[in-house]
Amino acid sequence: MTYLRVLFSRVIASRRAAVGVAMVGVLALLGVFAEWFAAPAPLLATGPLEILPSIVHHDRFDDLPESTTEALYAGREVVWPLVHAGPNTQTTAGPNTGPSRAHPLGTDARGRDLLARLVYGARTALGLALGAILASLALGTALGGLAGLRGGFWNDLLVRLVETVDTFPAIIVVALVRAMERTPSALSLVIAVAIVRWAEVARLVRAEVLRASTEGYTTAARALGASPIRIFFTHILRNAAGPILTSGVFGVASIVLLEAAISFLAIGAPTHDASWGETLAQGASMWLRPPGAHAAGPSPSATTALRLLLAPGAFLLVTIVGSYLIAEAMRNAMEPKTARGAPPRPKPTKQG
Amino acid sequence: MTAALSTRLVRHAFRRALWLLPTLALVSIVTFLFLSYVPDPTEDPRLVVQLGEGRVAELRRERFLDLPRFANASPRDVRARAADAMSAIAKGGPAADDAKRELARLGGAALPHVIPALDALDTSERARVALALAPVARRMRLTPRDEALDPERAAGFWIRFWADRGPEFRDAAVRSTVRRLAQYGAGTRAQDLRAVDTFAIEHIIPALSPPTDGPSLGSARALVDILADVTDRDDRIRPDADLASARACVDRWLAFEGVYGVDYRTLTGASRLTAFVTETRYGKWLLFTLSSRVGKTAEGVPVLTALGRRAAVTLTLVFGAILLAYMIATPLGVLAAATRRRVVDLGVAVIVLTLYALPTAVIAVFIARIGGAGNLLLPTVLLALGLVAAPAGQQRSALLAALFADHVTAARAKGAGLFRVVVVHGLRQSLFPTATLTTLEAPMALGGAFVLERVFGLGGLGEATVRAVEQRDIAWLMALSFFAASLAAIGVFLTDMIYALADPRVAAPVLDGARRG
Repeated sequence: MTYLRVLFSRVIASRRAAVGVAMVGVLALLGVFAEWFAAPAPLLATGPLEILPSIVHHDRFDDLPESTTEALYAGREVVWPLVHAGPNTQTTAGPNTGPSRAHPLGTDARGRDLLARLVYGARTALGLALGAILASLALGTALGGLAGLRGGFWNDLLVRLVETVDTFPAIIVVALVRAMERTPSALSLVIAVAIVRWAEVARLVRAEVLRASTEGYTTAARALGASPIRIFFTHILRNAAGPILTSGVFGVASIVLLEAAISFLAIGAPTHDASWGETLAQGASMWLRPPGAHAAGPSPSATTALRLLLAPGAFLLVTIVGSYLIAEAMRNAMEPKTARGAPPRPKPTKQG
Repeated sequence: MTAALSTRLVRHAFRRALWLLPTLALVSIVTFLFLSYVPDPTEDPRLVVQLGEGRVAELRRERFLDLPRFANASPRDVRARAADAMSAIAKGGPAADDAKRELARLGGAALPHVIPALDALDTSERARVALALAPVARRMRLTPRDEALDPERAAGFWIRFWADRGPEFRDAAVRSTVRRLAQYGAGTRAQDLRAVDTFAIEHIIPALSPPTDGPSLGSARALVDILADVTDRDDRIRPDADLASARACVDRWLAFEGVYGVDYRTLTGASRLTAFVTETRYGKWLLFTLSSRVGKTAEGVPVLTALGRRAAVTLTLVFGAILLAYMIATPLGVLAAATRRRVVDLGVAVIVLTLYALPTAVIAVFIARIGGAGNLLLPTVLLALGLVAAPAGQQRSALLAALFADHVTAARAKGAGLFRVVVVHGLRQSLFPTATLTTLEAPMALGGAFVLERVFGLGGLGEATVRAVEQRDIAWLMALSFFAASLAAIGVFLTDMIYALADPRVAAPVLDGARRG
């Protein structure tokens, strides 16, 4: 049993990880299969047969108002998703309406379906987190490994670079990138976050390289004629995988919060992507400055504001709690001595 | 601490401090490179229609967009500009009119390059160039004026002028005239300076400083008057002007020099070498944004002033929250470690997770409606809540790791209670690893701080940054990132030093220059 397998089996056995995976997993599935829950076009339409037109021709339906799409499919046999609206569809219900059959969570201040906004917001947030973490993993592993293997001046330089980048606020990098581009894109945001996050990975990888280079198995591999690159990838990196992945999962929460903060503050040009932060900002401005301020009792805008605040807040909460639970389970798997909960059972064999 | 250790500590501090400079330089260069690709508002094609091409070119020049980014191999000084203008006038054609205006603008500073070069031209070309100098003659009040306007005699007029008055166009002479004018003031010295026209600008600027009292106001007025005369920019210190408006006027002239100064200067030797770096966008930024002459925010406040004022709010928020978070987190972490695998430990974990997961923005919005706008206390507390988790977890595992050490087992075997073990053996080792997390928490907290500033209506860095991104205000973004980087670098440096001071086990390998893990 390899070290990674041991870690994996410990994480699998953890109840905390199970809860976390369930929470983040549901959101991830919502994000991946967003079109099945909320789409401007039907899932299936007959005569002529169309399967998932909102995915196949997504640019055709993106900005159409709901009434137009409804008219397009009137009188045909169709299977609609739960919500007949995409994240940018102008609904017929109008802005700030309460929950109804057509719109389970109501609509937002600009007349778009709230549930659709949130579901596609999960795609934006988690997609950004996944992309940024993968990019920073690649960059951080390469640079951290280089620093650990080369030593000397390059090591010093990279250590300083890592320190500087690690302590540079991500939100400022995002602001710089947003100022640079004319039309904001998801890719640039991924790059911006990766620019900051790689440093943490590099720090972890470098520490592991330095620690492992004095270990017997590394010496043995070198004695057998393995090249430094081979030793790095086959012997050292596997030991570093645990801390790196844990930091990555911990990073999900901070990236999702960062994305929410960016769209809450509306830094840069407005994006086309749905975002929880944008919905929160709508709710906040409504709650703090109610348009028709009533003297007493909850005005209609107050309930709308509450809905616009609490719904994305709940999605954020689920993401953060879920990723925190998974990351903690992973950390506990690596440090069973200090872990919470029941102590790990003694192994029958002395392997691993 | 032994003397040897402290010497090594100082050496280590020095080595670390040496790294600060290249780090900050690199950060500023990289950020500048980044920001130089920000589309400038003057690139808007509608602007050309609105203001005309010449005005847009001027605007771009004032924003240094005509300069290369980092290195200027051929800075355009008065010699290059005069030569270009001359050849354009000599050739005639549609570009000649612009060139004539350019030559008139360059004025006296161009004469040392133009008049000797007249000999190389043929008669008609020489006449055209000499005629183009007529506005300069008028400005310098040369007589007889009709000679300078006569195509037949203009060239001869200027050649005679140069033979006669050429020796006045010498740096040392003009510089001492300026100095004496600034010190004693006198109409004749001012006349002398007007007689060399724009040639004097290069020497007037160093003598010009924002006035602080009556006498300096007088000399600044005299100098500004000459500048206004020779450049045809009617921006003077009026006789009834107070100190503030006079200072603003002097600042405008210094800013003018920052943009157009090189037009009136002949670059040779060392100054050409300096211009290689200073006549670039990066050089201009370093010189002028940092000296707060050019960089202005949207409200017209110098960037550095605005940065200082706003940073006070944001930094109080961020560091206050971190301090508060540590005050909550450390006891929680200790409690959790001491009661490991019992109900209290689990309770702490639940509290920490709850604090961590609560969406700060939502709660802030709820609280802001109740009250507390414009007050720093509530946002600080709110920001702190989200920051508790990381140090609490770190404190718990660091303390546990310490408690599993052999010497602690030995102490317990000898009868030490849990309290004594935690306080005497555990805390000492576990507090510092937790404290070093601060440098990583601050940049993470900044995003949350921006959101809270918005919700509570505090005029912090966030508000200005969002506006700067909207208006593509490079000066602000540049200053902000440089500020953040300096703060971060100093933070890392301090943590490192405190670490080495506090923990001799860490100190020894670090000070010996060993590679750190």
